[in-house]
Parts: sequence; structure tokens; C-alpha cells
Amino acid sequence: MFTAASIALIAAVFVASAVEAVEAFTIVLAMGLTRGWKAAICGTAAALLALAAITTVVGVALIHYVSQSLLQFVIGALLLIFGLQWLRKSVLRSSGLKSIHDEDRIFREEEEAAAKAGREVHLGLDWFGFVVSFKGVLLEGLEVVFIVITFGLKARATDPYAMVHASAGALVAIVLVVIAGAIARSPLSAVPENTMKYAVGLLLSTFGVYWSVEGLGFFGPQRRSLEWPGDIWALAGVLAAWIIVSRATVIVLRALARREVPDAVGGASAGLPSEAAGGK
Amino acid sequence: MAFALGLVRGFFRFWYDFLVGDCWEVAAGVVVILAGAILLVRGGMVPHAALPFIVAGAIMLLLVSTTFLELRKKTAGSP
Repeated sequence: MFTAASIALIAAVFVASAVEAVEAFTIVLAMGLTRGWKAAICGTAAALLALAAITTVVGVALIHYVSQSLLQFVIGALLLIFGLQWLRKSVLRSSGLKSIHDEDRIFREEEEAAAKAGREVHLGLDWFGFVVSFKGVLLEGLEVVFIVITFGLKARATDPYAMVHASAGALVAIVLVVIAGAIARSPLSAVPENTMKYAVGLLLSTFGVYWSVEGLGFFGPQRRSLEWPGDIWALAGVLAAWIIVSRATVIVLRALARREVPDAVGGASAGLPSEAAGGK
Repeated sequence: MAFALGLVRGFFRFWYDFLVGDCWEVAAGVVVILAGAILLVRGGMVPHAALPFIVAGAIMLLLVSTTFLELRKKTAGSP
């Protein structure tokens, strides 16, 4: 039975996983078209196998041998790093200091790199195509695994099937991206990736802070997870804080960029380059 | 031999990309903040004192990485 909480969980995991799947798809598509589909598909399959093995081994080890509070601390720390990186890039993109994430441009860059790379064959496969596909799918796939575990574990208190729901959200996102990509046979640049990345950055940073604090209890005298005042409502508070801080930073950076542009025109600026002017 | 070395280098490069990403200062900043929070808890402070420390530290890290660090990179890159 789906509750409002389980639907929200599925939606959050779906959005986060779709972003990762689109990025992985762009890489595999570029490799398939330039280096051959055999290497691209074998690289993808090998990455999926590695992903399943890593998830099983690490998952079993973590559940059986690592205390819950230490697990929360480690995952919280990783989420905080991932989340802040995503949020940082989203803020820079929104303020015009970084170019907007463009799957078409990334696809062209991957294609160019693939065309320039020499042809080295190992195990009967074009090695460049295999390695790039493998790395791309494994890198994005690991982030999906982290997102499913984090969101799923947190929601388990209110939804006993949270892990199933989270996994289903990720699986549906990946399948839909692959189907859409197979139909379009081109990078999925129409997906509003920048907005989705901002939303995912906010969620990862929020869970990162939340779990880091809870997991800190491992280092206290009782070695038990700490509890946030207000428990689940604290998550909403942290999320609101991230939204306010990130939007305020964008406003400040845009103002700085505007102030620097006239100086740059006059040749006196050592600060923001002209790239900053085009970022509206 | 060169192939094996390439695999090893690729392995470490992969985990660096995954764990650290493209702004190492953010990853280092998170480690420093959490290490500070552990010291606070270990030092006998009320564990919840670490809560505002981590929240404020993470927010500061976002502000520094988007303003100071980025402007420094842009300045260093300009002619």
C-alpha cells in the first residue's frame, strides 16, 4: 500500500537516479557510436556486475560488522561531500559562474575524445570504449546505490517496505531513461537536468548533515546514535536552511558578477571574467 | 606490466573521482568539520554541541567554495 511518505520517497529516488542514469547514458551512447557497441555494452554489463558485487559485499559487511551509528556517520560524511559538490555546482551554474550542464556538449566532448584515442584491443574489446563505459556506469551507479540506501534506510521507520520502494524508484528511472534514449538515439538533453541536480544536491546535503550528526553518537560515551530535536521535522529544517543559503548565495554571486562586468569592459577587472555576464 | 600499472592507476583514479570529486577543498573541508565535531564529542562536550558546529561548518563550506575559492580560481586563470 502506498502512503504519501512512500510516494515522496519513490519520487525523490526517481529524480536522483534519473539524473545519474542520463549522465551514464550519454557516456555509453558516445562510446557505442564512436568505438563500437560491443565494447560499450560489455563495459556497461561489467559495471553492473561490479556494482552488484560491491553492493552485496559492502552491504553485508556493513550490516553485520559495523555499528549503526558508525554507518550513519560514514554515509553521512560521504553524502555531505557529494551533496556539497552538487550544490556548489548548482549555485555556480545559477549565478552564471559555471556553464549550464549540457548533455549535447558532453556528448560531443566524449565523441571527440573517443575519436582521438588510439585503438588498443584487450580481451577482444576496444579497450578505450570498454573502460570509459565501465567507469561511467560504475561511477553513476554507485551514487544511485548510495541514494537508495540512504533514502530507504531513513524512511524505514515509517515505511517497512521503504528499501523496496526506493529500489523500485531507481529501477523505474533507469529503465525509462534507457527506453527514452533508445527511442531518441541521442543524448537526453531535454531532461531538466540542472534543476534536478539542484534538488538532488539539496537532498544529499540535508541527509548528509542529518546522518553525520546522528552518527557522531558513536564517538560519545554511550556509542549510540544521537537524536535530533524534532526528529523527522529537523530534516525539513535543515532542508529549508540549505534552500535559503543556496538561493542567497546565488543572489550575492549574481550581484558580484554584475558589478564586475562594467570593470571588465573597462579592462580594469581582475575578478569575474565575461563568462559571468552570460549566466542569466 | 604497463597494462597492469594502468589498471592500478585507473582503480585509484576512479575512487578519487568518486569520493573527492572535482573540488578537493570541499572533501577536505568536510573531513576537517567532522574531525572537529568528533574532538568536541570526545572532549566531553555535550554531544549536541556538535550539531550547530556541523550545520554551521557545512554552510560555511558551501559559501567559501562558491565565493572565495571560485573567485580565486577565476583570478588565477585570468591573464
